[in-house]
Amino acid sequence: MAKQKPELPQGTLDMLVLKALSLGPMHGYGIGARIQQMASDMLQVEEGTLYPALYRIEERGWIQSEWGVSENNRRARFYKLTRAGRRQLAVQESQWQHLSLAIDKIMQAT
Amino acid sequence: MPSLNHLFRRLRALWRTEHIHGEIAEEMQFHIEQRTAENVRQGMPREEAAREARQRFGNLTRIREQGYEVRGGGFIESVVQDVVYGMRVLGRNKAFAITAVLTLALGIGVNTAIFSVMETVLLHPLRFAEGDRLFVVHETLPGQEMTAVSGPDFDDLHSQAHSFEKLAVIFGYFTFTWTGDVEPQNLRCVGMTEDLFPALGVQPIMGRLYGPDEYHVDGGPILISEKFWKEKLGGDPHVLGRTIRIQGGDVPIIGVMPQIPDFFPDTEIWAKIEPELGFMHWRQNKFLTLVGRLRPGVSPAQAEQELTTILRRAPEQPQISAELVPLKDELVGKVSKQLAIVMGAVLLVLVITCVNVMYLLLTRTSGRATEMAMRLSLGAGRLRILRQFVTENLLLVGIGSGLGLVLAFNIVHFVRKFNVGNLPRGQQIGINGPVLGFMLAVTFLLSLALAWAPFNILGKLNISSALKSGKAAAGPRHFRTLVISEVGCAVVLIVGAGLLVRSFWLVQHVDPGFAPDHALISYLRTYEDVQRWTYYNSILERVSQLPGVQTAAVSDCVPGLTATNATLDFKDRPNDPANPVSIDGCWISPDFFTAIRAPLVQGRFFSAHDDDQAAPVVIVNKTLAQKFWPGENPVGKRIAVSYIGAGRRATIGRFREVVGVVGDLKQRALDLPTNPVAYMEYHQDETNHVFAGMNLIVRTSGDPRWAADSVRAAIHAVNPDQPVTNVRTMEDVLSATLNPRRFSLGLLGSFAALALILSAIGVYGTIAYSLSRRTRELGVRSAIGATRGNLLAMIMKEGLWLIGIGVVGGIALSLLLTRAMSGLLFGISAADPVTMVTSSAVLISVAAAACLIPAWRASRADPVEALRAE
Repeated sequence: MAKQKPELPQGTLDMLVLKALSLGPMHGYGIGARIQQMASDMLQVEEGTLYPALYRIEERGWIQSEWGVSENNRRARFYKLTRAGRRQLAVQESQWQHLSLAIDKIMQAT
Repeated sequence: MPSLNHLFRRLRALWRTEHIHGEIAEEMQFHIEQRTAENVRQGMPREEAAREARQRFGNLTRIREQGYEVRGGGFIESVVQDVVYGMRVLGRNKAFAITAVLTLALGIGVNTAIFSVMETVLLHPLRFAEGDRLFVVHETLPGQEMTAVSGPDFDDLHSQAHSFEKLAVIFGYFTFTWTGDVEPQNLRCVGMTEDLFPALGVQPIMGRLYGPDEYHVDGGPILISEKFWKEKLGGDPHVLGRTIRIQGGDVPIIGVMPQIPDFFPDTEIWAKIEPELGFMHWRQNKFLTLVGRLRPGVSPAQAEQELTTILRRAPEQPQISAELVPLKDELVGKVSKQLAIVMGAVLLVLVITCVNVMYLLLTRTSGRATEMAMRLSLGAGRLRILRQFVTENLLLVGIGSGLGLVLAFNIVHFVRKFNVGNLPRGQQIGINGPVLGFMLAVTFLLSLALAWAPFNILGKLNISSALKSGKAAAGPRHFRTLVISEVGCAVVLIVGAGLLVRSFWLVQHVDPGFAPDHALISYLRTYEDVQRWTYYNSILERVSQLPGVQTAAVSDCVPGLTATNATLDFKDRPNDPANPVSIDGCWISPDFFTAIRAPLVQGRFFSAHDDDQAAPVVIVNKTLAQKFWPGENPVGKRIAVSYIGAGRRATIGRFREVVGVVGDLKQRALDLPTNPVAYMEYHQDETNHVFAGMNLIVRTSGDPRWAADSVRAAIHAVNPDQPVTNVRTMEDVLSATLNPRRFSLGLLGSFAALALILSAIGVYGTIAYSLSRRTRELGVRSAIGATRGNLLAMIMKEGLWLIGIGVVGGIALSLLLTRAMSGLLFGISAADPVTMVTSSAVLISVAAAACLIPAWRASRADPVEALRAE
């Protein structure tokens, strides 16, 4: 193994999924890829764990899924953000900014 | 958030489990393939690419499971799994399942039915607005029974009492004769004063109540009941103003009162009590029922105090006091104790039911030890297994209570249809919300109790030994507890039923003091334009000449059923008007005692010479003679008898000379003590009151029922308009007075029989099971020389010990519980030793027989086989 990549803090995966889907509907593999890409490969996500998370988020009504056709003509399950999901993303974004600012301040204090 | 939507989705998932598993698998497969393709594109060899993709994905099986936990049926699904599995398990053990379910259904069904009767009869409030403010007022004198009130009492209370909003007196039932439109018939009437319906808060459904002035007019328009209107007048919409012939006069109908189920439900005419009538003016004529609506905020105790003060202002009654009884208790009070006892009995049946099912479960659960141990060692939690067992119990109890509900519906239907027990409000009994609530509560408690068996066994399960032997020990202590408690409960029920059986037997063997066989009785209601006793004389003359008729007589009382309350005054001693002597009175024709075959003790019976011209005479019964003239000759004494009731004409009646003493004959029901009775010759009734109606008693040589038609014809030959009602044999009259006893005896007896059977099954099953666990021990014993007889004796001794402990405990419990029954007993105390001993003997022999069968079988087992068994 090369350099240790940090794991995601508990509960942030949901937010990342919502963020990834805010760019448009995508299947599970694509969502994982998008997150990797957006993080410029700085994060380590065990790809399988994405799915239980997706189901949970769907259960909460923030995303919806349906079967569709992938870019290489395979049957794939596509997820898209619902209106509630969009609201949730906004809430989580602002909370996250707040939180990270606060943590930054603490960590930079000498 | 677990919303309703969420729940629906979970439920829907139950029907699509395969589909959901498929979708998850496909989606994850797609992911891995995409990753593999990506890896290949980046130059990996195909195989390595696939491996790397799987590795990056993580533990596929676990992730699939995790996904399914979110998307599948969740908790509900595992419950469904338990239920389905439970069904299959029960289906495999049909004998067990059927026995358990039927036992439970019986217990739950009987309990639900009896509770529904209780609920309707006792717990329902009265159907009157603010019915809890309605009371009946009684009067009491120190050391005497409660009495009703008299006209003057009512006048005083009505004009002076402030604690009541409204006060009214009622008096019923009495009869009016209806002729003209139909075959002459008697109508059931209730007399009332003005404030009755305002006090109850009941309005006529049509027309109006009597106006204040109408209460002071004799006769005139009448108020009828909805029952009469619908049943006898065909619901005629133009009934108001219609005229019917009542008591020989044509009267218009002014109003129709709604059916009041709780309150004189059989009334056909709501008549009025005119305050001017003579009998309303005698202070000691206490025959009116006083009903009142208490003012809000006034307590019954305060009202009692006020009414007592007012009543004591009358100079004749310095010691009298008023007592308030809630109207509801007055209406249903008589049966409440009976029903409470029956409810207690069915609860005991429920306990026995529960114990039986418990032992079934205990034996079965320990038989499933291998299964439990296997699942435990494969990693199932004990809680999860317990849940599985509890689910199975719930299934049993659920099916059982479903069937029980069906049973309860049928019982209730039966009670309603045949008016079993002649219960107040009997027609309203039904399975309603509270009853279902009760049933659910019982079901819940049963499930909790039944969870005990698996919980207990599971808690002590030793995995390795269970896997080896295939059995888990339900400790012998459990079985002992079950046998003892079951036998104990059964003893209580059998003792209870036994007490009733013995009472019933004793009542049946009470000597009525007359011969009820070959006697026919019927009721002849007459009205005022009938020519005094010449009318009855001509009927008697005709009837007694009929072939097969030996003697005919009339009386205003019915031996073995009714007599009239009267007061007694003596010529030979001072009489205290404040403490009148109360006796039973009866007007009879000269042949009365001959017709019923009552023995003359002293003096003479009446003869044709004792008519209205002769000196007034009276015959007393032995009890009266002994009570008031102990050691003296009663013949020649002079007494005055005054009826209490609507016919009383004077404070003190005429003095009459005692000419004879008749042997004690039961004037009221067989199970009531014999009162002092005075019999008077009906020609000498100067008040003419008795002519309102008399009972005709006919002694026949053959079956009295054969005489019924000719008697009726003979009466109609005298007067075609004469209603002849209540034609029955004297034996039927006596037997009918025992009906309430039959009712409680039948109920308690059948529950006791049920308990006996259930406990016999329980003892049999328990002993058989515990012996099956001891095969090896018995084998060893017989291998080292115990004979079959030894073994049998040993087993029976153990069984009888348990049964004995149960019986002793049950008798102790009976002594506590059956005291509640003392009101239902006759001639014995609640601790009657004969009943206790007999009941114990019955139970011990049945239980011993139940124990003997498995014991005998076990003792016959081949020791070699037995030793190989484990």
